[in-house]
Amino acid sequence: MPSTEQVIKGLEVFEAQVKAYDEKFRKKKILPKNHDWRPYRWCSRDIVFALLVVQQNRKGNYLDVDVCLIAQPPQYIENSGARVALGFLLSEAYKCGGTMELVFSKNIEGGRVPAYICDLAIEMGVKLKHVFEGHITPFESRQLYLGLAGFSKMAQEKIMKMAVDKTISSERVCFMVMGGVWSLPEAETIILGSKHPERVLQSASEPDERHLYLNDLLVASTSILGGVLDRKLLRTELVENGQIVESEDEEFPLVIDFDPVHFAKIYRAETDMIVPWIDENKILFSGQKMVVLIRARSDSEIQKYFPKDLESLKKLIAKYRKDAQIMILYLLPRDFEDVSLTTQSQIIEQLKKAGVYLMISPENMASLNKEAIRRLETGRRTRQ
Amino acid sequence: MSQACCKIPSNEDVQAINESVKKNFAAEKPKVSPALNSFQGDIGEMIAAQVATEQLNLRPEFYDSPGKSEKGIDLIYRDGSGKLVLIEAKNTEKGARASPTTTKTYGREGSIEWIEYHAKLMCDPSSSRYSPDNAKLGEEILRVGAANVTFYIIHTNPSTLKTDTVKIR
Repeated sequence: MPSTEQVIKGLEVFEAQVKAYDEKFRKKKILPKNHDWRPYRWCSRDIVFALLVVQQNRKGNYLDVDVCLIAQPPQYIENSGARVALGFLLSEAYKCGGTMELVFSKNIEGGRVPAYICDLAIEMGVKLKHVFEGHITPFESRQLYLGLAGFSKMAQEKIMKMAVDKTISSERVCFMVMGGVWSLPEAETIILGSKHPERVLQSASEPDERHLYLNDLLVASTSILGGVLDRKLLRTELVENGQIVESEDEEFPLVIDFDPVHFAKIYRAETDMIVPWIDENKILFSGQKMVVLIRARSDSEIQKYFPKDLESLKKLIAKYRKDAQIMILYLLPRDFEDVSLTTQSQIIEQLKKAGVYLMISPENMASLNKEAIRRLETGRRTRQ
Repeated sequence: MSQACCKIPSNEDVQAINESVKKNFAAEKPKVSPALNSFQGDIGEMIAAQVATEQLNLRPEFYDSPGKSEKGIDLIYRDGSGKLVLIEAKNTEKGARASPTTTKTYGREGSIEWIEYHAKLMCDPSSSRYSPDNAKLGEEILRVGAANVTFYIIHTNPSTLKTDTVKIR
């Protein structure tokens, strides 16, 4: 770990950089450019994870790092500070349009790659070859970025294949997740569940390319519908002084997988939880799985495509019901309530016969499409 | 951690961080000796070291432990037959059986994967856990296999200072 002297020196450099930033930009009320030195602090409530100062080196087209002080708060998982710092550095390197190379100055632990980042690289199985020269090469950066994003093995293989085929770069995919445009399960849904995930992740289709755009919108809306369910299941509520408080750092222990063949999500809870959005009071017990067939459909589409969805549900049942404990659910948006009552009853009855639970999300297609359009537009404005 | 937010700090932020770090450094006192391998100010580790030598009859090894608030192997000893013994010192209200934390990649503290990971860190010159003494111990752990290394949790209750020792492996 860095010595006391190295930490104190880092803090002195950080203080000097903050003062310089104040003089050049904050007092003059102007914004810095990528090639200006910019100081950042990463915190969760009052816990500091990292202090960083970066600039894009225009000549060498890499990210220069002048301060990289990382904390390892004991309240969090191992290498948490390094994860936060490295996630920021790699995202900044991508955003600034460089080669993804990171270069650490002499002010950082004598000019080497920070030791905590090396620990994280060892944890992720990535070999860094230029540690004592203070460089992380573009190839190593890409491997670290993929590891940090947390994609499953199946998704990583598909991302690497797309990168080799030059349809989309792996760092773009990681940036869309780390930058918060898509959550990890949503991105995996898109990557594994659609024929052309690169089109959605690059926002390549323009609205006037009607068919392509509508297809991308459908994929995006369906993945967002899945994301809404993920967030509902992951959210924990704590009670403090009689008030319900959402904890920003606590999540329900849940494992989320994806079945690309049927476009279904598989959830496995590690503690008991109530299944939301269904008519009955059902509990998913610890270790039990639930498989949710996700379909973002308008009311007319629900009526038209239900027979096809029922076939998919029967295939899911045949595939997963070897485990008698598994629950199979069919998730639709609130547009289901706009379907005629007769058709609703017929659908509910057929699902009951098949032993499938109907799950109605509080979101409707209008809000899902609006969110999908917003995300595709955000993707279009991001570096390609 | 996923909710950590980024901000360009003000001068006041920097002053507050500086003061907090300097206070932290002032609270840490120097090691007593490498042989005892304990840090004053970390009561849990001090008491665990005492239990290891007096009750478990273990012999301390030269080991640069990660530091009082860092995760990693806390103490390394040898038993009478020369076999390595790893000790995790806990100073919490939870009992010894409840206290191992879970890491993102390598499961619970004390698991085989967790021990192998920390042994690799000790051997790798680029890592924060590396030192020549640590590297020798790390190589030995990897050579004999993490499954063949004894692992204890010595838990101290901070209110009563009573200890509870559990042998995980």
